[in-house]
Amino acid sequence: MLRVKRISCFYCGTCVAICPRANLELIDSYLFIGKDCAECGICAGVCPVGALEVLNEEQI
Amino acid sequence: MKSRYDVLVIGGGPGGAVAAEKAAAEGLSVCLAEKRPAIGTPVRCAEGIGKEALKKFIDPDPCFISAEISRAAITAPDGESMILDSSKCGNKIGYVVERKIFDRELVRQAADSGADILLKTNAKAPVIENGFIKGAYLEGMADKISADVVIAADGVESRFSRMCGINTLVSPREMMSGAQYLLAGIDIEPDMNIFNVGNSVAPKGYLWVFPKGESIANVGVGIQGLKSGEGHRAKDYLDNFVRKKFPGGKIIEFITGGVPVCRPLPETAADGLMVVGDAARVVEPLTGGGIYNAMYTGELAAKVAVDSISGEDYSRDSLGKYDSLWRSSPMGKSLEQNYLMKEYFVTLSDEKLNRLIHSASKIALKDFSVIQLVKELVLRNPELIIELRSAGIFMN
Repeated sequence: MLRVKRISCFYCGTCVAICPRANLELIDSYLFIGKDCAECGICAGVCPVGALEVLNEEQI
Repeated sequence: MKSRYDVLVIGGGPGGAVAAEKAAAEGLSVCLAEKRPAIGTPVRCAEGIGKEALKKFIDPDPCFISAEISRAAITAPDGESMILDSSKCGNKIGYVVERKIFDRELVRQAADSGADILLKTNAKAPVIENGFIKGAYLEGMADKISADVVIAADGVESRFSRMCGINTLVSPREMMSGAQYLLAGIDIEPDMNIFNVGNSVAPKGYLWVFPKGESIANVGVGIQGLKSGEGHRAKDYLDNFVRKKFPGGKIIEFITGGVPVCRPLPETAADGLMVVGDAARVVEPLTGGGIYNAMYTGELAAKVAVDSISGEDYSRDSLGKYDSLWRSSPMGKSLEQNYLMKEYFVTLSDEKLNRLIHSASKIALKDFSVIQLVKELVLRNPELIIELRSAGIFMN
């Protein structure tokens, strides 16, 4: 499961542009995560501040 | 507020604002929708722009000029610098602007020209009729706007065009991951932009110090998205640099952002749609500069919208003039050349970067451009010409 750490996110939209499934949307200062996440982790890697993380089942 | 316009512009950055202004000034009814509650904030930019480039679109008002730049330094991985001097090209070569004010001024110009402005209004989906983009479903101050021509100026995210069927996806290899502090109380040269390169400073990118006054600067870094990860993110590189170079600096603003350094979209026009600025990926790939190109493509899109609307033809054939005009312009050509340059420069080792930068301590450029700098480097490092040629770059 992809999780955004709300306090860490600077809502800059970098993750939106690189999501292969167009599953992320930034509205004003809120990053929406849609239902079509492949858990590829590309967004978590590119995020300039590490605000996104892919959690495994035990972490949820 | 009307529900039908000649032109709907999605996004209130420099590209959208100039498009709205120029279209409204030609007598079209124009609506600009911005998803944020205020224009120009949060900033996602290092705020540097060439002097002549800025003047083409707005008078340089002191209210948004933070610093005038007359020199640049490129600092090698080993710490040695090459100074680029502007004595041969009219001295003051560029500005560092205050984007919060600059963007707002551009939108004010659009409003003064007659454009309607919607804030905190997100474009949810395009209105599509018979394959033509005919407006957008919105969330915020309006729920739907119909328009003959839609101009997508929605920045790095570029979601609107993606919803219209244009692939705007950027690979992490070609997305720069960036972080920037506004650092106060630091000892800098207030007229000099500094670019630090090297794999330990900014892998496949650079770290900049752009002055915003006597002792204050945008200090930021962009690294290749693929090189970013836990413990080695843009913010980590920035913190390392600031700790070493400006230990007494006070951070008074912190922003992040992504800069696409890919080739432009293969198609920037469709039936009823034109895409401008960062959304069209018309960012200078070597410097990451996007303000001028956004304003330039915004203006061109407005001109083509005027013609298309007077001829009542909103098809790809008609709006496609916009696509071919910017591609064949000096801006379009320089984008392709600088893309190839970027692809070459990101392959260079720290040793090679050191050697190139050591080849001159000072260069007086005849014109302050990437191509001019590379020509000067070639003069001092003749082996470069062969390497550039094999990268597809021919210096004439």
